[in-house]
Amino acid sequence: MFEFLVKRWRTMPLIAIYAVWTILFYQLVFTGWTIEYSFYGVLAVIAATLVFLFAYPKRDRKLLIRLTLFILMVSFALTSFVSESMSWRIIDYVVLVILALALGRWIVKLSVLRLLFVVIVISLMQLWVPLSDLGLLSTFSIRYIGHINSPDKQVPSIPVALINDPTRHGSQEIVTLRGHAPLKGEAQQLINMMANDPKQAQNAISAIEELQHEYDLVTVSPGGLGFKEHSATPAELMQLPSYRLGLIDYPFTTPHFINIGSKVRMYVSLSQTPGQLLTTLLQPGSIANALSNLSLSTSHSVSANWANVTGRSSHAVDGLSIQNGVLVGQYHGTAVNVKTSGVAVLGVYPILPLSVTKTPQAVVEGNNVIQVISLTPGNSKVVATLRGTYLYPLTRDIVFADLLGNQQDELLVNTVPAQIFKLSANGGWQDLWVSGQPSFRFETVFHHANGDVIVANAPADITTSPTRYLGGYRFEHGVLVPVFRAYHVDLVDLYTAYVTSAETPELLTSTYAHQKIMLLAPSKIPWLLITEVVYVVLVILGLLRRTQRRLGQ
Amino acid sequence: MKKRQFGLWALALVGATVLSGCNLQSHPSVLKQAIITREVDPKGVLQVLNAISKMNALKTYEVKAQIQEVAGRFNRQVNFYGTVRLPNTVYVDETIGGNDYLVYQDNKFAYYRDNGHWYPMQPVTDLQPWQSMRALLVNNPPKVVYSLPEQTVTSWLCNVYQFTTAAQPSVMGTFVQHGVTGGKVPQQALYTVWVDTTDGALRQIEVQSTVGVPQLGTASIDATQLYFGYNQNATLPVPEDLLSQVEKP
Repeated sequence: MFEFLVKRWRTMPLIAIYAVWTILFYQLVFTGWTIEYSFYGVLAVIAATLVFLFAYPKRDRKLLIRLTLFILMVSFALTSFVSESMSWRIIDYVVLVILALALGRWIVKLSVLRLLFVVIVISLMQLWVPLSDLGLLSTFSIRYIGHINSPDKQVPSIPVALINDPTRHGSQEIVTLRGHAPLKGEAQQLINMMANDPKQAQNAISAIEELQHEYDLVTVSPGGLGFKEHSATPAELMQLPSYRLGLIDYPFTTPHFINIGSKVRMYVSLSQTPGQLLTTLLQPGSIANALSNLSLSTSHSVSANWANVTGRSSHAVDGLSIQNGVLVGQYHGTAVNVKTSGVAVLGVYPILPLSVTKTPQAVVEGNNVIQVISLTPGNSKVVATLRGTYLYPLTRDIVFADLLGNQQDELLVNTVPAQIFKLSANGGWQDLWVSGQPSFRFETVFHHANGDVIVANAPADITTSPTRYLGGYRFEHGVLVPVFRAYHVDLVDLYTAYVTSAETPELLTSTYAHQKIMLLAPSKIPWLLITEVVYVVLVILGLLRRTQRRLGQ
Repeated sequence: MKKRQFGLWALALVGATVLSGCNLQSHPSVLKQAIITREVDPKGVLQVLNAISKMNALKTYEVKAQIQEVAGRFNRQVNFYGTVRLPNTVYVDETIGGNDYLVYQDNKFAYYRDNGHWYPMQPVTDLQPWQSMRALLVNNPPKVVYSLPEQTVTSWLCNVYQFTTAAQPSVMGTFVQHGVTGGKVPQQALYTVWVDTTDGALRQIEVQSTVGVPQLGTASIDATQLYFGYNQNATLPVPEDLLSQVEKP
């Protein structure tokens, strides 16, 4: 049957579909099994392969194996050079096609034109979704991929942030970085700035020194057939606090922001020279104090610089800020003035049960402590305190989620191990869930009336490896029940976003050490299910073919 | 035939359903493991001070260190690896972010290399890390020292001591940064010290602390340094590319 299919042009579209299915099945199903279930997954892969192969009669099997291996080899080869420059990609591609055709002619024994057709199909698939990101397709479709275009390694993962789009109500724009390519005459412009603007003189000097390591701040939003990009304006950046883009290797490096014309540029410098850091390190008796001061001075410097560039002077969150140890501001017309040990306002959330109050509470964080402050008119006070320890410090790495659908938020805290806390009516904390895997971490949530879906980076079930993959979970009866798994590593800085639509949530993420960002949307096509169904159909076809042959005998 | 087909079907079905994954159970016992295994050790401070005293006989040592800071959603780290010949020669590789640096110092001839270029730096004057620990223990003796179960660090079986005491400013007078108002500088830090069971020498120190940063919240700090290669005949020649750039006096 296979020979019949592959040797007629009219049936070549079926071979194209088979090529796409083979790659999808390998990436979504086989890779998923081996990652999640270790050796058991490998056994499952072997079993599924044997079932597939032996479903077909012997005369079909040979060509089936050769064609399948050819498709997978070409797909792996294409994946291996996606990170190279465009000119090298073209050269590589031409060489690859020649080698693939020669190999294919020898192994698969199909005509060169038919093999070329298969290679083109796989290449087009690569344009649709890069094969290295294909694991995401089990749950998401990739709306946008952006590369930083910088050979500089100073930024381990590109910072991403979201701001309100002024032209599309309820929708958001992405703010991120691009590697800056120095322009002709740019150094002269900076020299003029140095001479004419004393306030910017030092920045201009540094900008000249760091010209090869600079980044442009840009916004990305839907436009035309895809996405458009433009330089972020100070007015747009004013929506963001300094730390959203200013935590690049914090506190060891300090990002600096400068206005050049209407554009905002960033460069990164070391907060301390290697010699100073060595001095700090070689005094363990005072290192805690020294690093704390470094953290404070770096944060202060970035914050002041950000305010200077964007004009953002207020640190208020939901109308509330902390000044000299007091939470002050207005919440829904009510003046708030509560003494607190917090130094940062995390936001206003319904942390207490609705049976206690319908007014949400302010959540603040201090040095290894979280405080919940009631905002009830005339009764503003600290109602609960959650303290961390040195072994399990409470950083700002917290996600707020209504896991039970009861309009009360739980705190998903990324200590090591990660934990879920719920505040009781009496002000005590319940530890609802503790991760058994140290590398498990919460990222964000997709809101849902019956209980939010947690988006997490979770290690595989049967493994001691800390490698994390994207996963979605619901909290039910004290356990996290998986909703989806997308086998992609190195996704960091994940946010629920509303970029292409004001209604449907998307996922904005940066990738660690790969200098690219992605916008993902829940896939409308169940590729994983389709792939699995096609597998079953193909096995049935094989068995029917066997039966048909036996009946014929 | 029918039985065989049924078997194949069953296998395919198991394969298809296995991807739905397992539920993640809660493991509250994980949190208690680090705490319940430690005991109060009245002689703990003395043991650590004795280990520090043994280090005074060193002429050379190697150091491998890592500083981690978790702030916001990120865990950033700096790594060091190098050799020190007392009293004032240093050859250390540093990785800060994605970049590598090299520090070379011979008395007042002190430079660091960044992206292939050497820059002069202020010489590091105190190259005996244990002295700052001694000053800490003398000035701010911990009220309680805990003894943890023995642990093997690299290949050395060690006694482990843990205590909480002041996160003091630099006591050696070489490098002090002034705090910024508005933050919550830590009053205390958790120190863990590993002492070799064989020769009583200091092997490793870990310092854990937190700081409240305005707008940002808690930043947690974890610095670990391992000492080894004691009194090995380490030669620390000037890097050739440094000599080609700078003439050594």
